Amino acid sequence: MEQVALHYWWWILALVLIALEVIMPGYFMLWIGIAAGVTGLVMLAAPGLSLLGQALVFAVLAFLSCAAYWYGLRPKLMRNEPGDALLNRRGEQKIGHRYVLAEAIVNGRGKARVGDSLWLVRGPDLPVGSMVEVVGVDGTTLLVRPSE
Amino acid sequence: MGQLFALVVVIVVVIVLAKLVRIVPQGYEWTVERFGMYTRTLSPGLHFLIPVMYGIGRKMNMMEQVLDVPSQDVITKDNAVVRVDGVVFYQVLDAAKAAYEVANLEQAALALIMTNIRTVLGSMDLDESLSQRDAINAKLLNVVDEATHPWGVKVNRIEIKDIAPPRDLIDSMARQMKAEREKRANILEAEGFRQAAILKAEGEKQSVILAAEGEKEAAFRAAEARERSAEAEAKATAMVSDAIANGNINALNYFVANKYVEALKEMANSPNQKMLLLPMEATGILGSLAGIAELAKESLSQQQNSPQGQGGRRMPPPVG
Repeated sequence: MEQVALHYWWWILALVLIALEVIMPGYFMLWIGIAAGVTGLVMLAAPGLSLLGQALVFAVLAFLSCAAYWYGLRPKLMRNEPGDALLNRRGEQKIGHRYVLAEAIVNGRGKARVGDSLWLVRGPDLPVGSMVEVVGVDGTTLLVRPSE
Repeated sequence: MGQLFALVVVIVVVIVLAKLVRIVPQGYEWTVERFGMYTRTLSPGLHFLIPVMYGIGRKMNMMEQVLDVPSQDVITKDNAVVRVDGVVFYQVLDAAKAAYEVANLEQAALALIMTNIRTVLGSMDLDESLSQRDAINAKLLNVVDEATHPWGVKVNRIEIKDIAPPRDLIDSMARQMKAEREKRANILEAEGFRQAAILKAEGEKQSVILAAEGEKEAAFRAAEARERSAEAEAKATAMVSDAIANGNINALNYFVANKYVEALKEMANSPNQKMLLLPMEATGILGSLAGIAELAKESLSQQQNSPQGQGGRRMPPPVG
């Protein structure tokens, strides 16, 4: 390994890592790759750094780049594309909906007809057939309140 | 040596970072354990976990899943053995409970469903079980959903796919249906014959009644006609007697004589010529004939002697 071209090695490492990230997304190689690229730049600026020093710089930069993504970039990305937070969350999807009680709520527990199935509900005691509104969910139980 | 150490540092950094960043794919939730104890659940997306301290416990599938219930022999209430299989749709709603409350979720759910199918079908007759799938499904769902609740699992649907009685039972069911149909056909046929007979009898009754009505009507009419003719005769008689009262008796005598002669002619013409019945008063008729002859003689002699002469005519004897 030539001492002069060392920053190239870092850049090669950076490109390989980024390429790997593209091939099999793991979402961490990208940041390490960026860290490796920055380490190469640091090598350009301070060529006299020892190998251990370079490794430490690389480690610190790697953690920093991850932190930068997590605290800086990610909130913005999440705001721009929230996706569907309720996907695969059957219980939360029902919050705000109104259903009819299929079984009276006795001692705070009853059943409501949801679609063609029954869901367990918790709420104030109510007779059969009354309308309830889902206000929350706890595991497989819907938390309800009487709906006018 | 320094180079090697640097290389190791770099490799360790990469491994640590690889373990630090966790990406949970959509449709799954991962539980997080700290030294083997459950702490929290990771939802889909990117997470940072401190390595060594925290580890991933179970990777739970949060999508709705389909389980085939293997077919089993079930005895119904009326002791028929049927093969039943089904299908279950369930979904994990609480990853932590599903991961740690039950050791083998699928096996547990299947065992529960199979035993409950036995229970529900065992309380039904064969006919009921064949015709009331909805009721069976609802009962099963009610029980199983309650039971899986502590495992954080929601059973959305249980469907009985097939209820198959043994071959010989199916045959006898088919025979029963055929017999039922034949019975219905026979009944309908008999009903038809009965209706036809009733209609026929009705028709005959109607025709007899109509004929009687006709006869009655005819009798009425005939009586009326007789009455009419009697009236006419009476009128004629009255007219004749009026005429007699007002006119000459000789005219009447002439008529009577005419009738006598006609009657005689009839008697002579009758096919039974061996005997000629003459009424008692026939002598009177003959007498009247003699009288006519006399009249003729007189008028002839008068014509010869004096054509202008008017002789006194002898009257024919009166008819009693």
